[in-house]
Amino acid sequence: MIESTICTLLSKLRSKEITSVALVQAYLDEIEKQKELNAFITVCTESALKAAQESDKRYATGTARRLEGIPLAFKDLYCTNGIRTTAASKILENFVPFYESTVTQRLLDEGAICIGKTNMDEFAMGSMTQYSHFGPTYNHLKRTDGKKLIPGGSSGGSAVAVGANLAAGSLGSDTGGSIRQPAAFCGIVGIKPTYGLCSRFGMIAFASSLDQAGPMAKDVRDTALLLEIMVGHDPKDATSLNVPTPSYSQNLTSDVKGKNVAVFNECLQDLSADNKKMMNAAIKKLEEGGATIHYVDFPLMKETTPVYYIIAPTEASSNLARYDGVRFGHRAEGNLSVEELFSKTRQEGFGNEVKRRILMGTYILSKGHYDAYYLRAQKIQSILRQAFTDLFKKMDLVLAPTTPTPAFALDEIPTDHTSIYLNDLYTTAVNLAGLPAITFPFGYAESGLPMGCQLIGPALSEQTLFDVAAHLS
Amino acid sequence: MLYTSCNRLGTQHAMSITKEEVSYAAGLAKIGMTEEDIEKFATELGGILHWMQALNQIPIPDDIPLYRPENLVDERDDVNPSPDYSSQLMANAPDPQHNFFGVPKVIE
Repeated sequence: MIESTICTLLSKLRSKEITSVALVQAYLDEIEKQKELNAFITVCTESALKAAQESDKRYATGTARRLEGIPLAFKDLYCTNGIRTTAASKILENFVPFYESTVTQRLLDEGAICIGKTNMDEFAMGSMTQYSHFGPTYNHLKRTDGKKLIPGGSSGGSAVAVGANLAAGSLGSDTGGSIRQPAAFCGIVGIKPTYGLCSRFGMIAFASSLDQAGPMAKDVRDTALLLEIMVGHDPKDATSLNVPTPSYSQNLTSDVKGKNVAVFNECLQDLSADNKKMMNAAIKKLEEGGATIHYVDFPLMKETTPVYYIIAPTEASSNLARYDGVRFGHRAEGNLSVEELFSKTRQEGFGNEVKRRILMGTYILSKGHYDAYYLRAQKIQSILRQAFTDLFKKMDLVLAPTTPTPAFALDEIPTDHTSIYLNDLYTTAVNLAGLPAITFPFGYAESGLPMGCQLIGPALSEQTLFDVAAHLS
Repeated sequence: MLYTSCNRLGTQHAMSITKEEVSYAAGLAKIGMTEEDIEKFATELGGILHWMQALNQIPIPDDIPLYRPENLVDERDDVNPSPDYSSQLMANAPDPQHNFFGVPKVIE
């Protein structure tokens, strides 16, 4: 039962073949069985079972909603009313929001059940889910050599929750690849929507001009179903787009005939043998479906990763200034002055990666460095956005790998930070340009691990991305 | 000092940010640091800043307009989202005192 897709579970719930209470209990049992994966920070046992009873009543009375009785896992940066929300940080270890984020509220309003809050890199800063105050999350997949693998990040807990059958679907967030990279490492589907399509209200901020909510699920149709419920204008988020949003899952086709697909020459250089095999197979399948492949020079795709590592930390340094031990969260103890209270609270409350990025952002924005780094990065971001705009005048979408390699082992984690940041080589340009991109499993590496294939489209082309991904899946 | 030559992405390089600069940034960011922290971050940030020098190889036209998210922003009326906002807000306060946030004494 727990291996099924959301669409299959909904059909079984509607036909009364299963009950929501039994479904929730089955996931709770599996979470307990696989607790060594450390995918969850908080498991909502009582509230989930109570909500499941309500869902079963609705099925009995014919008032079931679109996601009635489906257990979902939410990344622990979505504020959930009355449920602890930590962003995987000591500084928010005991924070209990009194309001619900817009995207989780929309899912709950359609009958979804929050089964738990998933582990992540602290404040979403990381690509391995190894930087959490609550300990690392491990990938449920095993390589042929049996070594423990990282799940990717920062939405590593959400990816493992879906991949290891601990929830029917999940929510991640993507600032520079944090949905797509863990989805690829865990063999599931994930979409980073167009900037502004999903409300950011109630999402703990990392880099506000780049952060975007998105769903993660077992297949393309489930991902489309979750996204169509999450999207829509929200006056509580000033950057929320007010545009019509289609029913992606109902409109889903796998037709790629006539589509013009760009492949970046730079993305074909220095490819691993696994990625080369994956890209060749995807190109062949698209051509067989009637799409035309165009090989295009687009060096900015890979060159702009450092731009992300300038813009994101500068915004983070400002966003995270609110954690000062006064209004909420951890407060340092002792006979301290106000200045000492701030600096000791933040010294104790933030982990090393968060401190590193706040320091970097503060340094870049400080006198004498602003023009050399931040202004220059903003100018290159403009060049990148214009280059994508020009590209999509002729192309429908871009085909690219999601990650340079499949999931790697704990003892293969690079020791220098810039090598870790290069995990994001194929993902950060999408966020800098505000574009949508989907990842889905496509083929296997030599080691037996799934490979992630990425499709990038112009703004608001989510339906095309779902359709083409469905063709390739 | 910062514009040293850059070979390729991913190159870790010798320190190009001083301990004084890290200490200054930590002061601005109000994050307490030990001497060991400052030394460690100076080395790490130096490597990252060096990696960022690769951006100097991207030509930038003089007339490039800056990306401004303002054109996306939809201004709304500033309304209180909850009638009982204050008491709910105080529930997470580390030191609530008479419905105010308690802080150390500021004036001697």
